[in-house]
Amino acid sequence: MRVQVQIDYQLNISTNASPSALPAQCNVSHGEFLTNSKDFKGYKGFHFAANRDQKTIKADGSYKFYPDSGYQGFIAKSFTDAKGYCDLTVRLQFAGEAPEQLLFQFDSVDNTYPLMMTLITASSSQIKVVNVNKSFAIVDISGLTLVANDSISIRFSKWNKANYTAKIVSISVNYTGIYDLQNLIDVRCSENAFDAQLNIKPGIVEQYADVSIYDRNQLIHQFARAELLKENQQVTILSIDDETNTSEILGIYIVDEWQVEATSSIVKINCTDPSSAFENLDIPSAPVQTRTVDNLLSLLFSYVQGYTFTYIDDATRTACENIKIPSSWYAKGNVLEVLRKICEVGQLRIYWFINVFIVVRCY
Amino acid sequence: MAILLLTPRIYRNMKWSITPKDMFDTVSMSPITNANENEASEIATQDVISVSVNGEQKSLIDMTDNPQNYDDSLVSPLWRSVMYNAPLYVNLSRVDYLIGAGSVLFTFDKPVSTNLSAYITLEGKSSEIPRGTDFYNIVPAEADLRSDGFSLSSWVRQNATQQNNNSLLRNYQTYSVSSNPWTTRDEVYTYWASSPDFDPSYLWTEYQNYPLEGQPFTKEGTGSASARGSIRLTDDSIPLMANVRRIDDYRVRVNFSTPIRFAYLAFSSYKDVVGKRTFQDSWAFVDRVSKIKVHLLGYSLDASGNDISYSLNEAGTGLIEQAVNKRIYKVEKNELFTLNTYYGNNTAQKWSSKFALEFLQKYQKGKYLLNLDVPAKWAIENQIHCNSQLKIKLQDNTYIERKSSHCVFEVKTIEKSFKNNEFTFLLGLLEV
Repeated sequence: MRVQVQIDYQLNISTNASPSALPAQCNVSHGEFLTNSKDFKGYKGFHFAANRDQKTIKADGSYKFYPDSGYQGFIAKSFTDAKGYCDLTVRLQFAGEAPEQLLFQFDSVDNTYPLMMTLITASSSQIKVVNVNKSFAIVDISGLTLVANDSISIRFSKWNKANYTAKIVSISVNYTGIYDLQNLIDVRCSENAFDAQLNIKPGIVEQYADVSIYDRNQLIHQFARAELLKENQQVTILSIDDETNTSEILGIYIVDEWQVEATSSIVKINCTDPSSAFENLDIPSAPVQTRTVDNLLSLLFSYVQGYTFTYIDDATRTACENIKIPSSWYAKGNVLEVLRKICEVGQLRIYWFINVFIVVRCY
Repeated sequence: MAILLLTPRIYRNMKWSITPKDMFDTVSMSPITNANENEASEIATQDVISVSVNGEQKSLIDMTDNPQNYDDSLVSPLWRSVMYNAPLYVNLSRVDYLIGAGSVLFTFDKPVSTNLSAYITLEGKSSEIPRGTDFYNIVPAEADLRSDGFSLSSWVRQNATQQNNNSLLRNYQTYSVSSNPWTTRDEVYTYWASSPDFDPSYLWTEYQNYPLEGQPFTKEGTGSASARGSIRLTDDSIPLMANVRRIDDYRVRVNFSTPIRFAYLAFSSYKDVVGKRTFQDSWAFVDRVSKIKVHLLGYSLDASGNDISYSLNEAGTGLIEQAVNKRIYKVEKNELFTLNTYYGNNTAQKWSSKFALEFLQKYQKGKYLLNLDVPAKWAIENQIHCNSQLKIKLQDNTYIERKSSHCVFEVKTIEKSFKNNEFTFLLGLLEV
């Protein structure tokens, strides 16, 4: 049994752009989609590059072929030539407004990438040239003049390897980094209904997750330099049982702090739960008007978009539905403060687990 | 919930508190109380910021308390025309009014803690308009009605039974404007009154010893053969209005508009069964409101005093309202926890005492705490989460016990740790 950490990165997108809208349509010339329609010795999916001469797969046995669902990406119809040239062009058609940045991922396993990308806008024929020196590239296109529903042609002409297959693994505005045994140094995460000393004290129990990652391909460092590491990025920690081929979510957290040092490949991530954001969420004053504790919790969570609460058991629910507060003031303040006061009235603790706040009694 | 057995083959690094922790024999709390506040502000009719006649805005109305200044404004020539030309067997009534609007700012010493309700009471007097005045001479002086046997000698008049020259005839009710619930800071609640609430009632039960049966006076033009009834408003609604605007926790503004002058005029003619006697009558009153009192009712929270403590009685089955011991569990004060907070549908069942009893019964002898490590695979396969219940078997094949019964523990904390390919769950357990 092992642990896997997934971090959802999101590149900067313009306010009206939807990541799902990108790319609405990709037309490839001098290249073709990598899909499950391509076979190699009876296997479908992604093909490691074989050079023209060797005609062999460069694999060390630790990698798997991709599943029958296929692999989204682009592959050139021909090998790069002796000087590394290969004419692969992708056209991105944006639905609506274009994003500000694009993430290009190439073959990091084989370390094959284009040395130069040339972007040309369809509406104004603006040209942007980007030099690449890694198996991924974050390209800022906010300086291009793009109109709604515009498109960009991207030409990947010269590659870093001769006589190799040119591949683009993905073009995206979102990226989920998956960190496994090869990258994970240390992972700790909590599922705490009480504090560490098991004190009987009502309130919110803030959860934590501390993750240390070996940034093998320096992608996180690259994100850091591009100022794309944010404090609200979602971190999912899973357990994976390879024997039964099952997985279970151990917790979902929000990044509280990134520790990325230029001189170290180890990245430390301190995470917390979403309740830390409640402090910045003000609520208007409102009278309680003989509300139950259950009513109060519902009212309070109605101010918190995206998060709900549940009770750990029926007894807790029954208690909260029966504690009635006549004509009290719903104090002004932020959600966190009022939530603490509700907990004090009902002698409750609230903790975050996976995707919901759970209410449990102290007594 | 199934209770899992945790054996030494599974767990490691167990730390068990030999003496129970969290022994409490007193619960102390400081619930908040609601202090009643009832503030009122008076305003004279001269201070109203605007007036209107029958809903039409008038900017120059002399509000001094001289009937001639407003009676002519109210009793319009149209009335006279209607009454001149009225046939027999008719009841006519009209009510005209002046609306005054004003605004009152309430400032509280302490922030108001509950919803607010506002209502208006009016002071003034009603009086009969003398028949000798020009606008009111219309009925007895009009000759058209005599053609059907009317004579001055048969003209009788009956005092309205509720007439009182010293106080308002109208029953001005209390109209509350409730701010329930406030959802935003700058919210306005308005009460609009409609005519049925404002029926002024002048019952004319008889005319000079002749009991009169039948329909009462109704709205204009719907009279019946019986000259009995009450004057009612001719409009479907009169804009009595109060709105309450909370400026902040300390200030509330009440804007209102209410009738401050009423003029009632009623006329009835009736021919008796024999057909020889005709009764006609008319009557007019004016209500003059001189003082408007706007009441604002709310509560503020009172956090002073009222600390209460509960301890278990000797039998451990009930509470005594006094702290007798020193192992105190303190409930922190906050404004949501009031003295009147109750449990269930019985307001007499105070939550403070119900909670204290349950809490003390559970914690009077304390609880064992326990920390240990288990393999993540075991914890995941057995779905260990918070509130999962476990029994702990010790190395010597005995159990952690309390009075010869196996202790049951509940998982309260879990730290999931993966380091050096070792994947473990660190559990914090509290005795149930």
